[in-house]
Amino acid sequence: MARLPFDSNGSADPTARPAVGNVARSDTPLTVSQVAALVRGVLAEALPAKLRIIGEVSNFTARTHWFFSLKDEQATLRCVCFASSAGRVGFRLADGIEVVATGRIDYYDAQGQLQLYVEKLEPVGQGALELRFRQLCDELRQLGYFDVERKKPLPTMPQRVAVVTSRTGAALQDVIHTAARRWAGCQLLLYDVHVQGAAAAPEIAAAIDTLSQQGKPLGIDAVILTRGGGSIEDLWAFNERVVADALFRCPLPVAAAIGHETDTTVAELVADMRCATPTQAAMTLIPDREALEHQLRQLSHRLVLLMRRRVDASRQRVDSAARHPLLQRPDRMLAPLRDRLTTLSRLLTTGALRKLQSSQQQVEALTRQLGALGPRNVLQRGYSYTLRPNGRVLRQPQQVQPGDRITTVLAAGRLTSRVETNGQANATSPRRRGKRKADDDTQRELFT
Amino acid sequence: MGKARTRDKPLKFEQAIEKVEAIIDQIDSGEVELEQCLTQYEAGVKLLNRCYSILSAAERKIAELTTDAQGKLKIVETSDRNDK
Repeated sequence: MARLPFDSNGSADPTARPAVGNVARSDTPLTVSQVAALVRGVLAEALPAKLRIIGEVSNFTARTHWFFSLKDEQATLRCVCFASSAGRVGFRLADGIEVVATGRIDYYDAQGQLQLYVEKLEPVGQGALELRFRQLCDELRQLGYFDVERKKPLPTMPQRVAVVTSRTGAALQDVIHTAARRWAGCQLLLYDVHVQGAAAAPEIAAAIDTLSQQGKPLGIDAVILTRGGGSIEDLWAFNERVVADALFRCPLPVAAAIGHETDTTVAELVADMRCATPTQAAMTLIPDREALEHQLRQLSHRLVLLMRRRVDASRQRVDSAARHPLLQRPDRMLAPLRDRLTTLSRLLTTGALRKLQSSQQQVEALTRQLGALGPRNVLQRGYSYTLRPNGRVLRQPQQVQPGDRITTVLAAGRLTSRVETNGQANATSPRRRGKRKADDDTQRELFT
Repeated sequence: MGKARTRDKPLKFEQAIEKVEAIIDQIDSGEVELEQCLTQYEAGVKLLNRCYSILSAAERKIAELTTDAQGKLKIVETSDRNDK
């Protein structure tokens, strides 16, 4: 049986913590576990239960738990922050950030190293809340929570405005007084919430969500989210993500005025309108009756003036039309017609006369022509005709006998003759007689 | 309870104002017949009167919003509260 390299009688437990004094005096070797226990014991006795250590974060890794080192120019200290503590930190840890870590120092047997078991982390330089605010702003900005395009316009004449604030706060009184001064026709509806403390953020978010879902049917046109001044911690509820999310979802326009003019909260950045003070929020949202009445008076004045001008212009047109010479002396309207009529009648008369004259001339010409063909004119040209004793026209020699008295009619008178011969020998053939008959007819035409 | 503001209203204030402005522009343009102008004018006067009556609405006291056990939002008129 091999001998143990240390004295095994008495203290059989190798992990049992040997007394520091005994260790110093004894040459007996210790197990690693004993040393670890020894170190833990020494640390527990020598160091306070809680230390606050300032240093720069390096080698940061976040798994379920956070692991990192704190360092300064000369030294490094391993740190672990368990998930339960990490969840309460409120800002994102990163390499290079200087922090104050609060926790206890202990010896981690398995790796044989000292570790700081971190319970609380605070950033140095800028406060934890400030860093948290900045980081949340960055995140929400990337998600589009602050985009101007998504901001809803505020109604010009809200009938009902929900005021999400504390019943006891000064902010509510400011809103009420301002609203009453401007236009009492708008009803304010108080939605009482805590505005600071742990309950505030969830209460505010719930109020906004309830208004989002049920506000419109109740005739609520807009929301004022407000709180008076306070420290950054007091105002912190308005920097919580839940409130930002609720505001982002809210379909009603929200005007937010949190804290003093110099304070900026996430809620104000997400809201549709950021106002410096509760009073300003009320002024922004509730119309000023006097200003609107002034606007109405101006509109009324313009409407009446323009209508009067329009009526006057129309009346002037009627007047000037009535003054027109034609309407003044309607008979003048007939003058051109009358003139035209006269002209036409004159033209008609002269035309008719001319036609008459030409017809007369035609008749005269024809008469003359006809006259020229008459027997008297024939006689004038030197012709004559002879009458038988019975007074009828002598056409053939056979119609008289020798010894018959015949009368020859000349243009200027008559002369009587006695027939000596009738030229019997020259009796004509029947054919010739036909011809003679035709000649007779021609002759007759001469006299009829 | 939410009894106020029941009978509402053919045109909201700002819509009425916009309509009056449009009427004024029309009359001003001179492109509308006189008869139509007169009709428009009457409509404009009515709208303006409606705006005046909205402005002179009776003072409305502050009320309170609460949710019941089912989470239903209600308006509670606070006649006993004096928010001075």
